[in-house]
Amino acid sequence: MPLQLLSSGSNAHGQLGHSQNEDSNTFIPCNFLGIPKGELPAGAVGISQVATGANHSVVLLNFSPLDGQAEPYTELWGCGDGRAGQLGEWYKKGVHLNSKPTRTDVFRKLQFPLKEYDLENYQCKLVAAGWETTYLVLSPSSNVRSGSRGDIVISMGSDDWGDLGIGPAKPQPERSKTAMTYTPSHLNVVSFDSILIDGSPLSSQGLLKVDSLAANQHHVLAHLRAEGPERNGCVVGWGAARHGQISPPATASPPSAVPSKRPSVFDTPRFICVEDPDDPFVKCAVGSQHSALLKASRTLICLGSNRKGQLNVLGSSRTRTVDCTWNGTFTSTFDEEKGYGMRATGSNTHGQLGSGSLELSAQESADGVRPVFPERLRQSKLSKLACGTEHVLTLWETPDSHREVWAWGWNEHGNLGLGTTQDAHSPVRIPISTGVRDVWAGSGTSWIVCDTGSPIVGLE
Amino acid sequence: MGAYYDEIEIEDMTWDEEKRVYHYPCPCGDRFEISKKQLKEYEDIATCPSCSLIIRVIYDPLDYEDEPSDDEDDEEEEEEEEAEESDDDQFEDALEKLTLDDKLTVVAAVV
Ligand SMILES: [Zn+2]
Repeated sequence: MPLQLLSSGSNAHGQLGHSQNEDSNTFIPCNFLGIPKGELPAGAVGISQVATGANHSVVLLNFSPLDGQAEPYTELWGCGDGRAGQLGEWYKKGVHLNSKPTRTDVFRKLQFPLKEYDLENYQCKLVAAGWETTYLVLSPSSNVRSGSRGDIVISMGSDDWGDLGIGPAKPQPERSKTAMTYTPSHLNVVSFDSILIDGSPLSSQGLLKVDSLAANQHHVLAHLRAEGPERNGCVVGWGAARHGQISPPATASPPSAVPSKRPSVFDTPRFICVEDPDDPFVKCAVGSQHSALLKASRTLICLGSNRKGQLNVLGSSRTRTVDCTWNGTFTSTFDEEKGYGMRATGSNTHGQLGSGSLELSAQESADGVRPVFPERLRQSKLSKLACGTEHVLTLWETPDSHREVWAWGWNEHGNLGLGTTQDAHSPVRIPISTGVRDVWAGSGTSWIVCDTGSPIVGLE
Repeated sequence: MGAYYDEIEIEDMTWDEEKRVYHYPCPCGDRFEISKKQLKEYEDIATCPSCSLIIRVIYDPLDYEDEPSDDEDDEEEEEEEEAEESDDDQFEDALEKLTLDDKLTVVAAVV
């Protein structure tokens, strides 16, 4: 069945892809340049990721192999603000430096100077976005895998906090937003050559694989692996570092420590944590000033600021996955008796924890709370947890294979898509009846991939 | 406490040389802003132009007491702002004159 991408929420720069830049408090299909309204680009069989920054959005689309080719391929489409280069130099030139008014409110196929970097046979496999940044993981196509190159990480956009991971900031004129210069054939390639595991460079231990990439405001985590006999892996980070959010756990500060003695920025990737091959990392998540790493054994490592109690969360055998709002940490849990549920800790100024109340007892602040889901979801599977800046979306699969989206938190821009701009202090069902495939959440924005024609019910 | 979305140390804010403000991301995608002049005058509320959220900025006003606040400096700032606004207005006007389809065609031709 054909798919469509829907979005709602904050839209000052057209980042919802609605062909206009008014906020939307309901879910509306996104538009792709040159494609019939509301449809995905022809041949797209799925969306593997939606990554959103302050005011820009990027979708990673999957396509079936072209005629005569064996390889499926991907395309990146983006919309919104590209002035800092966060959607690439091609977008900045074509949209922002254009002498004619050029829209930012419709997704365009992004283009990158891959040829100049001998990367024509690479496909984008992962995308992440920070405040005014986008990060791509490029992977060699399998038919050139006999070569000796591994995955490559590309960074684009502003670099105020070492966000690009490429060392000291570039000279001002090149980075200046108002000067509006651009360097069309340039790509920032993030180097991991300085990363050591047991004293020897990761890059000497095999081809680099990037298993996951997580970014928020101004810091990034990458889960790396050397595809050699040892299969050594680690998590590294770069960007804003002042709160210990990218420091190894042993040196991460206790909550009361004064953070200002820490370097404020790591402008190249730093080693955070080695991977135990028998207990690999399964999820990396980042908030504004904290990070969370989940291992296969359900051990949760939390780093960074705890001034909102955002680190007051422990992994247990019931923990399934983790994600972070800017100032909160959320885990999904599974219990044989109680079924799926969640645990939430951190800022609750707008009901972000979903417990039904803005007030927390001292014990709730220390231990976290459980977002309140209706009894009938007990039989359902919580299959996706997506945290935005200050709101949360969850995707549930019912026993009869229907998928429901439940969301809560800050809703000033209508980002919950409920037809209102009232905050929701406990989970509310988003009225899309069937066919939901996946959900994401961004800076006051929400995103749903669903089957075409899914009736949006319940809204006047 | 409840009135603020967050309390942010000045060290976590970014200095914008062109707009002459410290700023910090707002969850809506815009940003909280405060000028050195405001800091010098013991103001500690940074606002977001796009939503109701505000943050309290944690800083030491003594660090900003030497900031110049003479009229000349102010005038320059205002002129700059006006120039920026009129650019934006022109851009918006141009956009509004076009219908949706026209805009798509223009864009397609450009791309
Ligand atoms: Zn705002």
